Amino acid sequence: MSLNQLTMTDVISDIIETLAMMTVEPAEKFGEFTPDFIGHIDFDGSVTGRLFLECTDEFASILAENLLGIDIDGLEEAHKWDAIGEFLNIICGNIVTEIFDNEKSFTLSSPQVNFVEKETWQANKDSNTDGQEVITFLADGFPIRFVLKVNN
Amino acid sequence: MSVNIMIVDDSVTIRMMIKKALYISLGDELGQVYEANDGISALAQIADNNMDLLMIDLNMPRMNGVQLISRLKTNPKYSEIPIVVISTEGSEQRIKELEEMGISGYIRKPFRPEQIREILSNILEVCYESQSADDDGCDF
Repeated sequence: MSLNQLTMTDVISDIIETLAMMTVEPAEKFGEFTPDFIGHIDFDGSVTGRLFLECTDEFASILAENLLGIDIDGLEEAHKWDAIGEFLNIICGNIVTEIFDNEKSFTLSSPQVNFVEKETWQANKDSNTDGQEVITFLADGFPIRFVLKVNN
Repeated sequence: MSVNIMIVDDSVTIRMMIKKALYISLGDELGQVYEANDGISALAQIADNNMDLLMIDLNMPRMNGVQLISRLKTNPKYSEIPIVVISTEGSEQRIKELEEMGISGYIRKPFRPEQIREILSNILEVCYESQSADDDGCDF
């Protein structure tokens, strides 16, 4: 595991535990994991790049419930999308300052969250991720994956 | 006494989290809680209502937090309203810029409700003191 991956693991684990109030453990391999949502956010500062988050509908529901403090019966689809976006925003803001630069500021884009097209996902799931930092976790037993892509 | 607070953040999740922390922190002292999802919407509501404290995110569409703070701090009508920034941006450069603009506090996301309680208590204490000294402090 690279230094960047170790830092990502620490930062993300801490945020999942404290903000999302979920148990978290790093997971080396996902196995047959197909996400329901994929989100991304761009960062621009001393380096530029993009952070991706892939997660299941179950994870998104628990995340939204915990962040908003509302019961699953009161949960709307929009809550899940917003919760994923804000979760990604917070994680990206913390990662870029921890890994790249704690002194100069970064500009973050608005997070984008989309449903995953299963067929497209299956076709591209083994695409090359060389040069990208990939970290996988199990949060409350549900898989989530982060991919950090830095532009050269 | 009641404190009217506006939360300016484009995430409904964060607005709900802050609102919950405000209820826990201020209890009966909490007056009206206003919400805006960008700087333009915030300015419109600030013009129509009495705000005692503004809690502002930085990364928002249309008019971001820095632009909003700049507009408020250069307008004598609103320049004395205490501003707390709640953001993911935690660089030393950014915090210094914001302090120079005149913000009263900064909380980095993810935040704990206790951080909101602590910063509110500090700001409100200063307001109470300046109010009792010359009656020219915060307007509540």
